Amino acid sequence: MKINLRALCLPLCALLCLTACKKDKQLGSKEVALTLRLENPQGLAAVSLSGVKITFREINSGKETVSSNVSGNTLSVSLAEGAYDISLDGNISYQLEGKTITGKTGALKQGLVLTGAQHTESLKLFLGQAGGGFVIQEIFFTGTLSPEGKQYLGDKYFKIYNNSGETLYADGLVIAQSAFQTATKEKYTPDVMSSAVAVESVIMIPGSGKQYPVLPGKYIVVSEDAINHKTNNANSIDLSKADFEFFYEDSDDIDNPQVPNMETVYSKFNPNNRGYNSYVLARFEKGVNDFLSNYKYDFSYDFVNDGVSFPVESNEYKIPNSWILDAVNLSVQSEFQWIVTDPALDMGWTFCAKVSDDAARYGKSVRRRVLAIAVDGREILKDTNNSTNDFEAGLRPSLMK
Amino acid sequence: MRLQIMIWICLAGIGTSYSSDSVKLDSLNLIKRLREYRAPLNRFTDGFYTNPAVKYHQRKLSLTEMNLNLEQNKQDRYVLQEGKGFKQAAFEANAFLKNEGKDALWGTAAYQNGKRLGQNWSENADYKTIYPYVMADTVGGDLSAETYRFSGGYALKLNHTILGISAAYRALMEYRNVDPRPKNTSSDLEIKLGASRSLNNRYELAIAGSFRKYSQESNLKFFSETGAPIVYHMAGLGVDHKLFAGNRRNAFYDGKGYGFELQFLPKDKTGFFSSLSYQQFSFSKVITDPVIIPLAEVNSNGLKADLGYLIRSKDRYYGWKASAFLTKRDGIESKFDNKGQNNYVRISSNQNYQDEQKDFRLTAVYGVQKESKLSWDLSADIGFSDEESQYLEPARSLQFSALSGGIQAELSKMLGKSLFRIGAGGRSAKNTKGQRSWPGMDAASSVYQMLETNYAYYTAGYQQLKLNAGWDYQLKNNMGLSLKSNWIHTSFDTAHQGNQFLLSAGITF
Repeated sequence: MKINLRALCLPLCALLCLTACKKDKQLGSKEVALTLRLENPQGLAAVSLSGVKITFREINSGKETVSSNVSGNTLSVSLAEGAYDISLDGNISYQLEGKTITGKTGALKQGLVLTGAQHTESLKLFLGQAGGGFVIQEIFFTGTLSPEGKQYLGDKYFKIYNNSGETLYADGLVIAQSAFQTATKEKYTPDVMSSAVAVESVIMIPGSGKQYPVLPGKYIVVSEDAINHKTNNANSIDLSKADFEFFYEDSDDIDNPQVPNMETVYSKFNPNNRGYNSYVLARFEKGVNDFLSNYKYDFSYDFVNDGVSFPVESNEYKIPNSWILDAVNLSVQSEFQWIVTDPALDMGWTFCAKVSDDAARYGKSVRRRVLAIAVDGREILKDTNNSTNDFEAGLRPSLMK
Repeated sequence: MRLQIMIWICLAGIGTSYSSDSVKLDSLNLIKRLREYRAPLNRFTDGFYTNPAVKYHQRKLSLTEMNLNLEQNKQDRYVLQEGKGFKQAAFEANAFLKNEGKDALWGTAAYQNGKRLGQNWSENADYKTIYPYVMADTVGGDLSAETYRFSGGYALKLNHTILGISAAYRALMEYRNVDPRPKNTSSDLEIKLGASRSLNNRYELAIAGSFRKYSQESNLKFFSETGAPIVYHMAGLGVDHKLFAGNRRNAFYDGKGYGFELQFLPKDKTGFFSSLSYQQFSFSKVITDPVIIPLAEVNSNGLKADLGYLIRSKDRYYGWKASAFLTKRDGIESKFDNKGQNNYVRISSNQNYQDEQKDFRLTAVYGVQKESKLSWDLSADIGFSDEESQYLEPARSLQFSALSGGIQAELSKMLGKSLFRIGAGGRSAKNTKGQRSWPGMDAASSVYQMLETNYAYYTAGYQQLKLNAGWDYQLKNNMGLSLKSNWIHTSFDTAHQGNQFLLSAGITF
């Protein structure tokens, strides 16, 4: 019986151990000590920063860490290992040509990988350029569904707004669609993003220079087909009063002779109805011919699929950042990977679709927020070069009655 | 189709075994054999006989059963990922063939066809196996399900030693014919080897080792022309892997595990019973479309210990049992750098999820079992259960505990060629602790609602009423008919109820 008792004790002891089990340790992450050095914009003297807010967004978890603890252009912060998008907002004052100037500053760095015990990184600041001229007020790029639930084509539009206190002329304004997509990140070579935006289609408002005035606080509508779409689709929009439309003779397109057509500068302009492309508003410095002659962009990248790399070569056009009046990055909420403009033009993005084939995106637009009402009663639209903050996402289009 | 063929092969095997033992079986009264198999005391002792070597001692007599079951289970409080219940028809064949002094052979073949009801926030099968790393959307719905199960084993007695081997295989397919349209196929195989050594004329000491292989392939489709909801890859307590939310709709789960068991058991089911088992199971979740993305790994460790004592005196028996169960699950998640379209590089991994479950229970049983007169059995149990889950970033936690107890009575009586059984029981659970923390969430969001709905279930007390009845009738040639019905009514509160039905008919021989 001795053997029996010893054998019996084995499970009994285990049972006692179980009941005596202590709670396990708490979960913990691997932390990285990050030192972030802020680099002032070049050519400025006596630079002083204030109200700086830096947001670290870990792209896997979506967790955002916000810090304002900047001392002497350096910020030290402890972050969990991961890949981060870093954005900065703040105020800047500096001396230029003997004058003290105050304004907004910003910075963006995408895909910073933090592993190991510590990491030092620099972040280049840029000057915020508040939009005082033409801005993109609204983009209706999703289109509509018919009452039968079928996709309806032709009723997309852009609203271009005069955000200044002076009459501006729309003649020669360019709308361009980005060549790169915000949901498809690649390592394009050469990388020209800090100096230009790669574009795959460009249209331009015609005119002699002062043919199309836009009063302060007023807008023009550039539509896909400037007709009353409600006669074809009760869910659509009357765009017969649009100021311009884009028309392609070689396509099954509708031309309203009462509405001037946009000039096609490069390729067919066809906004993606999910919102993968971004848009810029620009003016050519030396005209269309100069643009087409001197701003071709040949680039290459490696398309990687399941670890296998395929070299791709392509060519489009590029618009220098200095020509760009306004930029809006669009994306699909769940698909966003990067912005496709220099962050000095737009360091954010906005959307209508939450997922790639989101049925709820139809009949929705993105619209710039109103910042204030001027003394003359016109609306001043918000333009901080951050579409995440400047735009309201997924609204009912303003022209949809 | 191949699985159906396997079922028929198994059935043919059972039939062959039966015919080879038919002379011996014929000499034994079916009702007497049924009496052993239907004894309520089996609920008390069967948990000790998981080792294929000691399975030899589980039953003294042989029996084969083939049953057709209709089942329905539906309740208003539930874990959304597991669904509100199921309804199914099942065919099941069980055989245990004992050759006293030599060997024992047993096997099961089963096919279930039915529907899992109202499953939300998981488009996968086998939630309890792969939680919390499921693929989910906010739509969900009923899932059609087909399950095939095969198991069998053999124990060979060699003087004072018994060697045993067993295997169990389950194949499951779940699908839905409206959007969202998951198609999940899972397979689960466990092989176990055991050995038992007689210590003296009363007790045996046994050990066993097991190996498990699990896989699940999950493909989700949407046929709607106008769009589809976001597909989330969940990571625990409502957190999802943000980088891969959207339209990554295919995943694969690859798991394996092993286990050890130790038993100290009486040969005649009288005296001390004890059992200790350890189970390790780990799996990885991989997104398979459009590129391979190793998203998470889970390591699960479980320890179970039972200690009991059973005394028999003539027709009476009484005993007690103490059980403890502890399991801990760690979720290790990968982080990726987004190098470009479909080009993700794993940069680190960290344990972000942890779940611990404990259950301690005391059971007592008292009964009288007589050959032909009225037999009865009374059992009662009381226990404490606790579960704690944590998630690292964002910091979320959940903890709940409950005291629960139940009482069950069963009467059985042989009348002529019939064996009648009726039983009734009650069970009650009272939540003793409930804490949750998921700060900063939008209370209107569907994921918040999911967490709160599950929390309401975890912390709900309940009262349960159980009724069961069974009838076995001996036909000619030692064949028998069997009918059985169970009903369990659960009341969480006045607004939330649950009902489980089972109706079973079959033959025995």
